[in-house]
Amino acid sequence: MLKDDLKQPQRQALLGVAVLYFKNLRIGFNILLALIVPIFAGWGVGGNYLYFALGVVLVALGVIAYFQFRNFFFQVVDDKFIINQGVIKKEELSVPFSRIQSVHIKQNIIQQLLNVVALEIDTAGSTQKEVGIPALTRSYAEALKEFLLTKKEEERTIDESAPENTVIEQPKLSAQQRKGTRILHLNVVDLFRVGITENHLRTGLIAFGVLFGYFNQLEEVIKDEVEVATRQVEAFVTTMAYVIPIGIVLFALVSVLLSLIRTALRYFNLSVYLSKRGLTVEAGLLKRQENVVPANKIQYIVWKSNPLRKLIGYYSLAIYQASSGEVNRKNAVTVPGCKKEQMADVNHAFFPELDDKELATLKPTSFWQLRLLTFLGVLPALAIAVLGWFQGWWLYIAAGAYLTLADFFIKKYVASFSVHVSHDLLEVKRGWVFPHHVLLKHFKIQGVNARQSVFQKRRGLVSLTLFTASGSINIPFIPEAAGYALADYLLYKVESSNLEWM
Amino acid sequence: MKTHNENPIQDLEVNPSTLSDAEVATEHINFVNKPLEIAELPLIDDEAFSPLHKEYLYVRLVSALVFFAFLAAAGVFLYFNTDLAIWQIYLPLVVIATFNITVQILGFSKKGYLMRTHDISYKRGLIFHKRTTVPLVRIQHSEVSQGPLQRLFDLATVKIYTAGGQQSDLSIPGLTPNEAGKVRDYINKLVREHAEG
Repeated sequence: MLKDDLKQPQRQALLGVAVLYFKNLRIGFNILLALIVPIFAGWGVGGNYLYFALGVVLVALGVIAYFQFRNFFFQVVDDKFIINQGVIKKEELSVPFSRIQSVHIKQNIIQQLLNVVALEIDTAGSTQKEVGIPALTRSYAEALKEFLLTKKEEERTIDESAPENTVIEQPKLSAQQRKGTRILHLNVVDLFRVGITENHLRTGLIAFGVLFGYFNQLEEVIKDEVEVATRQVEAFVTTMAYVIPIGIVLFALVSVLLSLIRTALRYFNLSVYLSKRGLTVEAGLLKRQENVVPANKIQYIVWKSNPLRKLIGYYSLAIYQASSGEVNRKNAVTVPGCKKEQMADVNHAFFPELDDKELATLKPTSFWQLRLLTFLGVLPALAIAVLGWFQGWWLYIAAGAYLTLADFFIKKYVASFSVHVSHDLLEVKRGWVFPHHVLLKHFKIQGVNARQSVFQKRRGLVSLTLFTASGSINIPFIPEAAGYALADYLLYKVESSNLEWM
Repeated sequence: MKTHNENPIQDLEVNPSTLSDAEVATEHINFVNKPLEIAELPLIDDEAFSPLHKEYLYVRLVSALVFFAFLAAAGVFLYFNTDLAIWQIYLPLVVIATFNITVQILGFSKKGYLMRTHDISYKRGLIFHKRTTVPLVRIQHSEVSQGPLQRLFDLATVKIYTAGGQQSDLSIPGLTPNEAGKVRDYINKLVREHAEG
């Protein structure tokens, strides 16, 4: 019945008008605020006109909502689910059934009051524009969800009938067999080592963020935001900070203490199991988490370390995997405290291509160094020097010292950057103080971007960005010829591969 | 022309696991043969890109003009309510508008798209030139959109979504609705075929 209905374009429930109206109100909040505030603040700016304007905006939003409702259709054409929407800017969203990852039914507060639900279709894409229907009766939404998932399954079974069967025929594996062999276990001493060698500056910054951020959103959210914000400058700034004594002993102590606590909470009794199917990571003190990373979901991995950890031979593994929904760096599964043996195990299991012959090595040119020095060295130094004009001559010395150090570390950082290309694998190594080693198989790449500013063009340089389903990887300031050749080679490898990226 | 990656790639579209050792070895030899390999690669040629329809420049210019007209109107308000002189208000505006429009006009020829057998590229940017390429096998879905100005000039935009995040999503403006529809249908058909194996 539903299936026949869907051959015709369908509208959502009439209450959708109300849902859309409240959505518009939320979007138009700023305009409304600009009208409401003067009214209530009693500013004498033509009070009646403001009421009138407010009325017009409220009605207009309602009219827009009505037309949004009128113009919103969904239907099934062939093997696609299609949504038509838009008042002024009309658009058609089409989702092939085979691309559907999951279907969610959601209800915000307005929808709860109106007793309708929203249906959202998750497409494993990065469509920021979500594919969804804002207002349906619950029973209809349930039926539609069922319908879409059935369709998806049908597509899947046609798709993978053979491999699916072989999996089913296999004898049931015990939990232990499924997980594979344990390659790493951190005892209390190891855990302490991991904690004490944490990047304390970052922990401190995170703590800072928690303290001064929103109190109701606890560590999880803020930690990620701060991490994203600090990631860019971190490699450089933390390097500087390790050398220049910051002088805030309290900050240092608190940071170290928090590092230890955080490490204990996250990585207590960490166990890593490795099998051909993937990696299983179990850890946590209060909230014990089991992360299963199927081998084919891995997009790329990163080996990291820091000076203290290098000293005791510790490396951290970060595994970036594809996720349906938003693409971000939160998807990384991290394993601290790996030694050379675990590194070899993991690399051997998931990146046997490391043994392949290297085809080419690329390095950024010294113009990158020049640019980094300009923005991270010269400009801040100038700012400090200008401050010195008002505050005293000692700041000139600080500016000079800063510039010298910046020059030194940028030189080292740029020199440490290298890209290694082999038949199927790309390695990006960087970081002198904080080594950072990316392993990416060519066929996991989703797209390639080549950038060239006027400045770069004059010097025959290009910067590449490789997009994956779990973030992007930058290769800055490489020679033009090699850069474009690499882009073409990678595209060729992606396009000639029939391996599934997830 | 070196710009179309047709046969060399299709010939190689075999599952490596189904290849015999000898075949793998030959394939390997091919790749070790580095200079030849790179020289023979299907290169993306900047010259091969198709330009956008001229009308799209008008779309951009009209929308820029509308924007600056709004700012100019706001300038009138500033003039009557502040002590600023006319030139203090309009000189910066004229400079910015001239710069913007010059860049739009000069940069228009830098915009272009290229559809090949296995991928689609879009390039743009006068001062910061960018070229993004998405392999067709990595596209999630595609759609056509048309803003009011584009409708006025009978143009449309194809949007292409990948799993690589917003940055790698392509948006190719300045096509006729017919072209845009064709591109979308072609891509969606490929996506479907790929999904069905």
